[in-house]
Amino acid sequence: MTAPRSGSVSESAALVLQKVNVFTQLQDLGRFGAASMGLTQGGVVDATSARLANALVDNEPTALLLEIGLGAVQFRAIGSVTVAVTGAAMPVFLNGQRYERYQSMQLQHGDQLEIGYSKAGVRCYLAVGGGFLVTPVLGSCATVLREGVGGINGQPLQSGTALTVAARPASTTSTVIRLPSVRSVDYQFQLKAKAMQNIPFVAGAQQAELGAAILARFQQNVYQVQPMSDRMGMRLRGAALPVASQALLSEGICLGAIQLPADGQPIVMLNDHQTIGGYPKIGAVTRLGVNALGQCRPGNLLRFVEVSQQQAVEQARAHELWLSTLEQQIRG
Amino acid sequence: MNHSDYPQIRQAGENALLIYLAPVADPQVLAQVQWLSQQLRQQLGSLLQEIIPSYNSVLLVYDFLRLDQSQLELCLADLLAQLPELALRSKQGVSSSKSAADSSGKLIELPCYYSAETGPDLAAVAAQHHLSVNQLIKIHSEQQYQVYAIGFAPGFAYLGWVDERIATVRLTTLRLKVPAGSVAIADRQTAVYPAASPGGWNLLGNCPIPLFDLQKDPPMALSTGDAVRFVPIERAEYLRLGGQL
Repeated sequence: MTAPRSGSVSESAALVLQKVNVFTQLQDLGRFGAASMGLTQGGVVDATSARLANALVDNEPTALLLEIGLGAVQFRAIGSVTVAVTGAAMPVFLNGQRYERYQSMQLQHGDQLEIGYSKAGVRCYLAVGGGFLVTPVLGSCATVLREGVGGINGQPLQSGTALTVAARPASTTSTVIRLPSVRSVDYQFQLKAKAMQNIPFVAGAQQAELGAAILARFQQNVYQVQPMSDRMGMRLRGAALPVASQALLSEGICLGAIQLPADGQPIVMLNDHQTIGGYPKIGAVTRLGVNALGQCRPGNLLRFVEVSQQQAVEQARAHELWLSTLEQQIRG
Repeated sequence: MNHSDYPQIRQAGENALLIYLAPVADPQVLAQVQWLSQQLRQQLGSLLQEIIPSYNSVLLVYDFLRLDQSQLELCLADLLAQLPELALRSKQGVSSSKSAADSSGKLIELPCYYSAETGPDLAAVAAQHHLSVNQLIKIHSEQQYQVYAIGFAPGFAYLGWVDERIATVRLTTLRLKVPAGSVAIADRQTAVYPAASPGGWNLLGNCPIPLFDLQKDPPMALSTGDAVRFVPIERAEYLRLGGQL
């Protein structure tokens, strides 16, 4: 996870949080196997951007990094730290000089790293070579503030905190790695800043209860992302859907589940979703769809497009092949 | 709501299936829920990301890049075909076979200090049902409950069902802070709040034994399907066990 690779280790380095907000959290790919105890999965919302950030600093995909929502955060390096920033289009400044995202940067002791407000997208990912060093809880370091679990004692990050960077072999290259350009990312996987996005979903369990017409109406509607959205759920507003009045016995909820509460306005469950619930569900947005939702800001417009389970698997396999190939190319 | 239409396997997401074992939740269905969850854990292990048992269903989240759904469905069909047999055994109360014994779950006794100082709604709930406080405590603690689901917060177990004589609707105003360990009822369910949190259930007392502790392995003694009984304790015992006032 965040454990250093074997071999001789260099002196320990850290990133000091000089300016931070509650939307900046230590995350990894999530905590699995604990939902039967009521713990949600947590983890990065835009997993593709997070994996690329880790690849750019030669980390494993599971390494602990920072998910930065909103932006406007500042860091100071203690010792020598390799960093890379991916995801939302937040301006990156190293000692006041503008740097591009999607490349690794070498920070020396005392260097100042500043990340401004996002121009497109919501979440950027900052990875450090070696990963941040935190003790895992139930197999993951992912922060879930609602549960008080993960990250630094399950609490919001505080200004002044020094996040220790896991040491790794001194032999590890500190050469700057960069993607030829953000555009080398396949178009279908690029972070879109479009006014209207199509989000794939798989139709789900309560079709019979909700009625056959609902699937068509859900796909005809245009939805606007609401400001009340957070890591638990993305709230949407469109033409209200008819809701069957019957209450369900609470049942397990998966990532991306599209809940339909009594007001007929869907809520898409994101990474910090509750583990069980009794609202009927239209289906679930695919993982690739969740990645995209993770970069949608309030006011963005969405349309939902049904894919079969087989299509979802094919899309996921194609994406995994592209991403793992790119990760290998970056690592050389 | 015809039992013969069950069990049902339905798609929940690209890598998730919901298995409904019955249209309602009762102890027998719960035993099947627990048995199925255990079997899946044993047979598929790391190919599954999550198994979430709850009331009458099991949600499976699987690694769909490593496990084909058609294979998973074959495995499920195999297991579900064994369910009627399990139900028959538990009905006859025979627990000699391993699977029936497994599915019967554990019985866990939880000490509870029922009092005005740990259960601010104790008197009001008793009055509402025209019972004395002692009668209310007796009715709540004599019943054996089962864990129907775990969720809402880490370690929060939904226990059913409380005697109809003491079923109580939720508070109209949410308490901003319910102390950890609070024993509460809402409608015909009862629960222990594992950590301090906002809450709208009626508070009857407090259980000094932590239900969820990340320092322990496993952090939680209870699983869905287990049985729970509350054992009334006095103030001194409550404090001795580490209870807070």
